[in-house]
Amino acid sequence: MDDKFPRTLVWAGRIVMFAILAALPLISQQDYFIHVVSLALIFGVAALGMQLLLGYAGLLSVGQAAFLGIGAYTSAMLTKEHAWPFLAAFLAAGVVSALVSLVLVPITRLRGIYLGVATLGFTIIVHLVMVNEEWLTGGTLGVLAIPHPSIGPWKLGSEVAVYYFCLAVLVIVFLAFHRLGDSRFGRALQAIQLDEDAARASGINITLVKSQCFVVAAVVTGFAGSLFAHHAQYLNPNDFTFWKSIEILIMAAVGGVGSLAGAVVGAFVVVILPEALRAIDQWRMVIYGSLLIVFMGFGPRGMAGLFALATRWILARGQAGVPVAKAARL
Amino acid sequence: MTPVLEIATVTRRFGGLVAIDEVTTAIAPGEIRGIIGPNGAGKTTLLNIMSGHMRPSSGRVLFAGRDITKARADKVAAMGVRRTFQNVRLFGEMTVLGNVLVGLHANGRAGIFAALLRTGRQRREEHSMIDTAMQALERVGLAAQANTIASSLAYGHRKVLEIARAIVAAPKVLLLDEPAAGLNASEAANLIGVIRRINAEGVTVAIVEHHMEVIMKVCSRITVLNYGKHLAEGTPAEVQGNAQVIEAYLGRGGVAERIMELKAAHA
Amino acid sequence: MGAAQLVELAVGGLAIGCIYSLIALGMTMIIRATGIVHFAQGEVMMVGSVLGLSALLLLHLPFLAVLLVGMAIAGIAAVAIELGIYRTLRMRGTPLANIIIATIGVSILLQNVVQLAWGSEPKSYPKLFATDHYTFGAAKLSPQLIWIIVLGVVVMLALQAFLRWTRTGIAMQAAAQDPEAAQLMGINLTRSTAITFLIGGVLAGAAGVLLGSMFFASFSMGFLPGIKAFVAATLGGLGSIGGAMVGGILFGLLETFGAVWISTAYKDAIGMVLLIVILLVFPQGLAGLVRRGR
Repeated sequence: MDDKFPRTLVWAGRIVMFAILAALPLISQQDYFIHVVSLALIFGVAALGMQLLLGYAGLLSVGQAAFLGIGAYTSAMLTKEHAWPFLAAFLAAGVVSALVSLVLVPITRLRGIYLGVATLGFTIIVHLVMVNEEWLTGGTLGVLAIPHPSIGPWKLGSEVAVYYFCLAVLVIVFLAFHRLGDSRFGRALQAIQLDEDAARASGINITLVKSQCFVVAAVVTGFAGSLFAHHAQYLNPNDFTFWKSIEILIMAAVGGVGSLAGAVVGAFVVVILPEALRAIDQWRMVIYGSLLIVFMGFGPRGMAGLFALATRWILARGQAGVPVAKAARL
Repeated sequence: MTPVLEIATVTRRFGGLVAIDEVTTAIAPGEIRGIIGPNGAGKTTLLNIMSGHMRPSSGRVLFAGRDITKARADKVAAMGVRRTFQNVRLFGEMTVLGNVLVGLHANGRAGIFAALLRTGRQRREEHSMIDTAMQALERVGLAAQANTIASSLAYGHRKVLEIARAIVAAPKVLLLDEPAAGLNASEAANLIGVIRRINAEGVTVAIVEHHMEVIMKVCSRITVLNYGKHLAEGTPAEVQGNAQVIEAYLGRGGVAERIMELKAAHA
Repeated sequence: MGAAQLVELAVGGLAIGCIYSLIALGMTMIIRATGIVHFAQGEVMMVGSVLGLSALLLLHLPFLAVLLVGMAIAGIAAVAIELGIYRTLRMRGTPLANIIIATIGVSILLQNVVQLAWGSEPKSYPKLFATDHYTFGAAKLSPQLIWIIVLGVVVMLALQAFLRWTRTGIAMQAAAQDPEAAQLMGINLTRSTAITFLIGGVLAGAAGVLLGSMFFASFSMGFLPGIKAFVAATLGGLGSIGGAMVGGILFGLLETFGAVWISTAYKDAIGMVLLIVILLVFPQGLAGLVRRGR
């Protein structure tokens, strides 16, 4: 008996998803529309980082907004104040974010909710630094007039150009994480999530692997932060409160814990839904809250689990008793 | 010959309770050592101390002459002391092959960058790991189920999968915590075969077990613990004939004496 | 700093700490009974505060009656949420992590329903006491602060008495420790979980009216205190009732003194730094210290 969800189907689903994303600007080139879906792509990158922590390693982090902010400010300040080229600043955003994440190494030994609360505390501290250290971050006024992203001589001046750049980053991070998941490192993460004692007995240095996981997630989230800064062209400390951390966590969970595609879908749900509900202005957050509850009740694997179940049902009606666990790892 | 694993006056306390009380023993290379004793004798605690999952309150643990008393469990495992757990601790959501590959973690070198770039060396390492893992699965008779999700295996298969995960990295010492618990007669027989084969390949084995038939059949020497104390040690025949051991198992008076009498009558 | 100012600060810190404790206690009891980290606990407090104020304005009740009304309404709201949402999710086999995220959904939902029904503007509680402040030596203490501490302590003691000496309280403790065994002993888990939410809601409602009487009531007043109370509960050791009380009060004092002695701007960071340090030493919170000491 082979329980693996057919690989070809997984890839078919992923390719369809990215094809739709690539085609979105064809639907409408309206600046506002493109701006919002670009933001969803950017948060897709951050949500992938969260998925590595939560879905692969089982590490509950409520600290990702801090790395998003660190990446954003690093990139904004380097391009604006020190005239760095965008790509260099983009890479630096990942590096600085990674360096700061090393501070978290001691707390990786905390478990479950305790880890969540400690990282929550970290977000609050970083946010306060952004608010109060004007010399570093511009304080509550934030940073204005951040330049457009550019690749060498090409300036990505239009919303559509920025969109495709964000999509390219998302695809690269997605493929990178897919490779990581299917490697010695990825197996170690999964082993730690499933049983720490057994992982230790298999020769895995838990603290080391967990820390590496935090650093990788921080790099990627720092990249997302850089994109965020140059996409919005304006930064404000209140973009990086712990509420943003919670939103990033929701993105990874709504789409299905452990699923890469789920994280991308989750980011679209969390970013687009409130915008799409603007028409019913007053009621939109009421509906948003209700939908969040409903989504979480979709079953153990969120929307990815639902997708896997549906596909399975369509393909082979009623092959009962097959675990969805693997299926959700789309 | 240096013992491969040496326990030197090890004591382990939990609050006021002394789980292991100044136990000393040495396991020679190539041995199959049984560790037996009534419930609560401290057998699993001793195993946890040997594997580095628990630190002794006092005393020393030596592996091939090196002091590993303070080494972390993953270090001890990487050095070549592997173990299984009492209630089978598999990575349930992973495949059978995936579980065994995790056992090879410490043998690999490929890091995050190598995995991202899929370097030639990383791919070669993956392939050779998969080969090694498949060989280990063949040794325990699970090769056909390599792609099954571990949690959906039958109980007996889960137990030998855990052994495969422990031996895949070619350890010097294999510690088994109640490998026969919950197995039926044919599964137990299969298990005995597996343990003997592993031992024949040069792995020293220590088994904590209640299943006396398995212990007596497979072990070359047996250590008996009682209330955390080292009670007796010797070949299966010596231990079986030891009055103190029988007393510890069956309690003073009545049954114990009756059995001794029966034995004497038969002899 | 003079002794008078020190006393004033300490009383202020104790009062805000009592409010954190009351919210944290509910969270702790819910965690013990169900494993759910109830992020909507701050909103339950808000519901008590807002509707308590409505009762006060409509019916001109005396303060103690308002307190009781706020407690009752918040308790009912909490039970309704448990029976209507969390129990449904649990029966569907939704994993705990998902339910915890759903509690954030409940938090958003409550905030926005109240905003729609009650308006966005914060509303002040009317002046409740004849005097502006009591004078103790050189220290001037507002009557609200004293009342908050007194009532907070009374409510917490009542909770202890309930858990220790009533049948229902003991059954709840048993159900939290070992649900299966408790069920075998004839304890109705649905009922005992619902009662847990009821009591958690009542405690939060008390906090809501007390906090409202000090400042004002608004739809968004619950979120931050809710998060801080959760941090305080973690500081004390999740699932420890004593830990929640001590953690809350400690957190209130720390915040107040930290703002004055260290930095107003980093007031919120001080508690967080301490939290992280304490967790590094005692990964299970301060309750771990007590357990280790034994």
